[in-house]
Amino acid sequence: MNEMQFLTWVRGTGLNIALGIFLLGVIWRLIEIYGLGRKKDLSAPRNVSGASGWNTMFRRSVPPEGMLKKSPVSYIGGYIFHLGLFVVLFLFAPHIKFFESLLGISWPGLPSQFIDLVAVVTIAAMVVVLVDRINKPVKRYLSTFEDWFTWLVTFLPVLTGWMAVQHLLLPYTTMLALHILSVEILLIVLPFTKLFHAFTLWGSRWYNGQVNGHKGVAV
Amino acid sequence: MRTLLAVCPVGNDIVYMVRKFREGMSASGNAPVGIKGAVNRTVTIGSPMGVKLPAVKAQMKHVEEDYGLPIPMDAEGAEYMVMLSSMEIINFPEYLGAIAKIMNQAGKTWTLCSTAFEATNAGMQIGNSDLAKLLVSRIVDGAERLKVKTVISPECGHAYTALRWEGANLIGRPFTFQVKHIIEVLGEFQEQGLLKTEGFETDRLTFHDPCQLARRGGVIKQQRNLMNQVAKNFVEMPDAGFMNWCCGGGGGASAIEEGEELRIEAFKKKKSQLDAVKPDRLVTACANCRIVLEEGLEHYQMDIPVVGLTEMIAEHIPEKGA
Repeated sequence: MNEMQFLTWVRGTGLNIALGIFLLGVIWRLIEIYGLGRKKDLSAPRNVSGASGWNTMFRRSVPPEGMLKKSPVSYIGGYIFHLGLFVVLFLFAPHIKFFESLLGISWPGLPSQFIDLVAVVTIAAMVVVLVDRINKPVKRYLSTFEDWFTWLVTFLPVLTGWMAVQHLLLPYTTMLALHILSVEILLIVLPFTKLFHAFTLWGSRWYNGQVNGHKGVAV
Repeated sequence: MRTLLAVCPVGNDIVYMVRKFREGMSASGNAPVGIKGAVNRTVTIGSPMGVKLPAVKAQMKHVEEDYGLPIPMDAEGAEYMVMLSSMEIINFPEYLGAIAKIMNQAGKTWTLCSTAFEATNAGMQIGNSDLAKLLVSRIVDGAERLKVKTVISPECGHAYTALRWEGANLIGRPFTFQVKHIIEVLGEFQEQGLLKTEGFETDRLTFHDPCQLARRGGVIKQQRNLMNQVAKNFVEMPDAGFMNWCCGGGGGASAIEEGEELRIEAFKKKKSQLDAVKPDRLVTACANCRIVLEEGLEHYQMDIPVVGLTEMIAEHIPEKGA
């Protein structure tokens, strides 16, 4: 297989397989989680303002008092790389073209020089949070294979994408093919690992806020 | 434990994960021996520490003699039904005396229940909802037989959670009575002007918020107002209240010998909180916290006595006729 054939495969068959597994995986996991359902809480509620699912959904986006000081790398690094991933994924013109071909809808992008900067910052932030995870004894202790693995499969698409655009290390065609391949790995892995938080985040925040709000605790 | 519920950005709550894990371990017969024993004693004898009704009656008699106040049992139609934990019956009899004094001053009717005096729920600790339901049903039956308006949970964290938040769900219907922690009741008496105290504690005091009462129960202000009524020198530890750090181990971790090492390690965090304010005494409102705190304080050779808030309040209630 030469590099063109490789690119053709990842753009065709490979992408179809990855998207198929991703979609079915996401649907399966959502049914699995929400299908459990929850019984009505029969204990008498304690009503306190600010204690509800909706409140918690928003409140958790801001570090609780004192936590930013205790864990600056987690919060700042975490915010930067999540926002960076969002910007790079959805506001880079070639990506928008890809979504247009897939979904038929399009939206305005950002200048590629800006995206370039965001990619570099995102890569740096991801490296910083990784180093922090290795350096902090508690974080290291709590980390399992899944944590290192999910970091890697998230990191590779950003790195290969940036390297493809910059024409670094490998010929553009090969790097682009590797970039798409890394995205496909990410798509396949996402529904079955903790990366699935991309889908469960809001629901579980709401649930936690609701359960504790019933007790009059604004979590 | 605490930080996950309070800060996790993806909304994980490890307590319920641990609970599910316990349920699985319990169902497969792998529960720790210590907890199995406690559950067996609760189901067969009536309390995890093997306390029977005669022991409660003996305690009642002692308290009646010491305090000169009646301790009612099975008084139908009383406003409050007071629950105890074995720990209080055996180790902290002052609690019962404190209740008698407080109720007497507030002019409220109250009673103990001969068929349901034990508030702790070993079924919940071991992770078996059938047993948890059985134990809650005893209390519900007692409360409904005596037609009380409110059942008072003692200073025991998981007993409060079992009764206040899980009880109705365990038996599958809402309660016909209210459930309140003793600290909530004291807070109400205070607001209604029914709690009159004299004198103040003058040494440096701080308050340890039991997780089940504060972070998982929503009772945070009352204990502070109560502390301020009887203490001149009440100082807050850093992170007190909703974000307070663990005593060292909750009902499960405190009930098993295997947990000792973990409790001592977890207590380091508590120690740093205490070191920040250097109190003369530590006040709390949970018998489990009290035992675990005492264990940790002893291990680290810290000379800080631990006292229950209800008893401390009661000590400031003037004697009858005084």
